[in-house]
Amino acid sequence: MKKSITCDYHNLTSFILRVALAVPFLFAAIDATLQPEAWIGFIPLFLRNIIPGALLLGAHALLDFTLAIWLLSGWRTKYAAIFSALNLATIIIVNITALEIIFRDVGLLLAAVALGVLQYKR
Amino acid sequence: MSTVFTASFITLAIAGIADAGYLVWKHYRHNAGPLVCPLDHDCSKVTESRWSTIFWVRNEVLGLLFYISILVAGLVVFFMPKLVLLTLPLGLLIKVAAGAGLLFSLFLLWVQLYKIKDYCFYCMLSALINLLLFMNSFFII
Repeated sequence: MKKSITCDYHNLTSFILRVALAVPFLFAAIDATLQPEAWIGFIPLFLRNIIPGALLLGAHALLDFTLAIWLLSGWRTKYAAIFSALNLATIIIVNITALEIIFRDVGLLLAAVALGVLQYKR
Repeated sequence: MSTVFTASFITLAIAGIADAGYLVWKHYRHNAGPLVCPLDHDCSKVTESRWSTIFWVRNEVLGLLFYISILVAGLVVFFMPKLVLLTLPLGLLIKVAAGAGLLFSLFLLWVQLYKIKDYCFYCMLSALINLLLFMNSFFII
């Protein structure tokens, strides 16, 4: 007899969106730690004039890493999605002049919004 | 050596630790509840089957140790490149280890398909991570 595969599409969609957001966050955190010179340019100059760029980059890498783990954990996903969306929106706004590079983040931002909508009232 | 590929290698290793670590945590923590499968599937048919241990060690524990070793190797490649180039055939070791991990995953896929005749989402995910790790291993050194 053929086995029927039950599938909760809500859980699956949520999982795929969480992984889709967590993997870029994880990669960004690790690559920014391994080769900060490739990422420091994304920290706005006015901020680097106030706080050392390396410190800001390290703090942002830590934030990205934390968000990635939070998203993967599946704990309070709605809030993880909100913080991810805020993080991505900030990245897009402060780097809007480099739109040819950060245009992908717009897609990630909408994925975070979609995850938040999916988890709304759950 | 490409730093980007080292970063992606480390990313995959951490993803593998999360995957295998979740299975280990769920198995050994008595009040952790059942596995939560994104496909709403009963993974315990696979994870608690007689194929769940190899040489008296549970597969997810082996997987966790494998991913931790791979993570350490990736960090050594990045932070001690001279040591790697001069004294250790680490590049070859990583390729062999990643290849062995992939072969073991393929074996477990075969077991799921033809022996247990059921599947586990996290085991499939681990197989995908191992495939990507194996491909990635050719670009880090």
